Amino acid sequence: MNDDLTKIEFIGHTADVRMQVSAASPEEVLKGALRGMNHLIKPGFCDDSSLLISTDLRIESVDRSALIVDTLSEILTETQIRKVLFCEMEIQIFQEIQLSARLYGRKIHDGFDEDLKAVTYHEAQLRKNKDGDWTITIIFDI
Amino acid sequence: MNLLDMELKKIKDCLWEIPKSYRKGMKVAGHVYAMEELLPALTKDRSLDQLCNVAMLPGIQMAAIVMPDAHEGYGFPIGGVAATRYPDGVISPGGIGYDINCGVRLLRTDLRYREVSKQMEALSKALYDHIPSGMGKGGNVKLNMKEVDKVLRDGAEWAITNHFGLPHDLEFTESLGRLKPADHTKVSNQAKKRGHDQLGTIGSGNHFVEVDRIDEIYDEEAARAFGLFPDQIVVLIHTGSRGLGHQVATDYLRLMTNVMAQYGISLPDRELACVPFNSIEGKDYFGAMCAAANFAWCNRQIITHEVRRALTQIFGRAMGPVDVVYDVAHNIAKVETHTIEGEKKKVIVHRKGATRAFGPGFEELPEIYRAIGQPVFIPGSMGTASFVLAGTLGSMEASFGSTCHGAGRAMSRRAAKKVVDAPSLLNELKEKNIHIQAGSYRGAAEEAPVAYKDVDLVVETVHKAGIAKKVARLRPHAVIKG
Repeated sequence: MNDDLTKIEFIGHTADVRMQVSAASPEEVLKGALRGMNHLIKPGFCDDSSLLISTDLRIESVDRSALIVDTLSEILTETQIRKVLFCEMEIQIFQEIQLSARLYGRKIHDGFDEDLKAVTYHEAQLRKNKDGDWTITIIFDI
Repeated sequence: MNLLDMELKKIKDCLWEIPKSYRKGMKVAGHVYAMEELLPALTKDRSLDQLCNVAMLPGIQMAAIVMPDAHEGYGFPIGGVAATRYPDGVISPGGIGYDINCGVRLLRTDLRYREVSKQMEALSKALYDHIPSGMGKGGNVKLNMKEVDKVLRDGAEWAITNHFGLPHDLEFTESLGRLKPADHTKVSNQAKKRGHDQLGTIGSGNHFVEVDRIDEIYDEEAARAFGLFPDQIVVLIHTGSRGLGHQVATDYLRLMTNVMAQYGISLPDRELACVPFNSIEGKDYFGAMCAAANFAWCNRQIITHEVRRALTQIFGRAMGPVDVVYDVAHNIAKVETHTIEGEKKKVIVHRKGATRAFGPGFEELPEIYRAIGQPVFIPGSMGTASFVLAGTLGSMEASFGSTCHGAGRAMSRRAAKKVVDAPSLLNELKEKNIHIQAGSYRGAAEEAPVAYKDVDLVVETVHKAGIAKKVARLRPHAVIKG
């Protein structure tokens, strides 16, 4: 799940999934968190580059940590309703409490591997780690 | 401070207290139901830390409580009970959970295991064919938005009206399968769209349909009242409100995170986000939560219909009736009256992974159960045992009429996948005549018995503590999982 710039780790949680994402900027953290979420729902599905469906997203939240959670929540909702995995995110605006982005994805025809119920706020605190990277922990209810 | 390092004060057998003074901001003490053998599991994750946070909720009454099956959640621990003052105490979506009205229904048959043991594998396959998991594909019942609204309003009654069950099924369902404060206009279109094709599906995770045989009766009078006897085939259904409920919780947690500061509420964890019950947002959430709870009761009613069809396919119409013993929620908030410090008070009881366990005399119960107490079902893991319990007067006094809800996870899903070889596990279980139909090996490994606490100890705790009493033990023989 990692590339040179973004680190995505799945850490133990008694019943759910705890994911830690670190990257050079909050925007890259958000993109990494989306990759991690998609990996949980359908591993490998986003390796195919034919992304035929696009949708626009606008989110406002109380702060940047909540903005990341709320954005992932909104995308999860769209995935659940439309059965589309949104593999790529083109961010237009990413401010303290506001995000505007375009998502690109494709339809899943053979069901999910994991039925994520929700993206939670628990432990979701965007901060800089000791290496100077931005990091956030996200717990998914499964 | 690690909670292992603090002194958990023993109040009585199987009940421990975390004093209010343990953490600044706690408004009440924490009460922990556990036999000593279960304490290490409870203290190794964040369950008790989260319990202390719950004790900070505005308007919380008597104590924040965790059951012996508790484990770390997000915000509230799973296995928690919190009652807040009515009407100005808070309501918190995190205290109910994302799977609103996740619950358990037990069906009884006239079949004896010794007569049908050879057909368990065929039955497991028939159930798997009739009851989809619905993971990203939807189920067999697809509704337009107008019909979704009717389900949200009418709950299990919608299923009966539409020929998915028998009228007397409702009598044996908590709140008759319908919460009247439900308000479908407070449920978002996104939530309705998520749920519109999911009725009759179980989902994934720890949800299941399980065929059991009764292998031990502990209380003959209660068992007789519940229509249970040794060697009987019964069916447990464990699922909830599916994506519709998940979306209701998501929507209102976000809303409450945004507005709770306006009510002067500040909490250590956003997943505890809450507002006064009598605020506009509180009333809206309660209306939406009740609607989602109705959706869940309708879901379990439709699955009941499919279970009946699968049983008839295997055993024919001569097999006799398949009756609902009871259906009870373990993720819900309800306005109830309880005696607190000798005074009767209306409170908002949050049960998140805790089962209502009302004692004898409760008027809502079917007349034949009223002298016994409300049936309670405690599913174990797929290779161990499940239990039928009855509510007690003790639970009314000590735990807001609540008890445990399952074995409780002890190992993360990730860890379970590492230590469990699913094909070997399924073969081992098959040798014991336990037939598993799972959507994936991964799902089976995650739910392996080794991932759970000892359900015997969990049930023994609540029995000894007097917050439920043992009635019967069930052994699984066919398990359907998403």
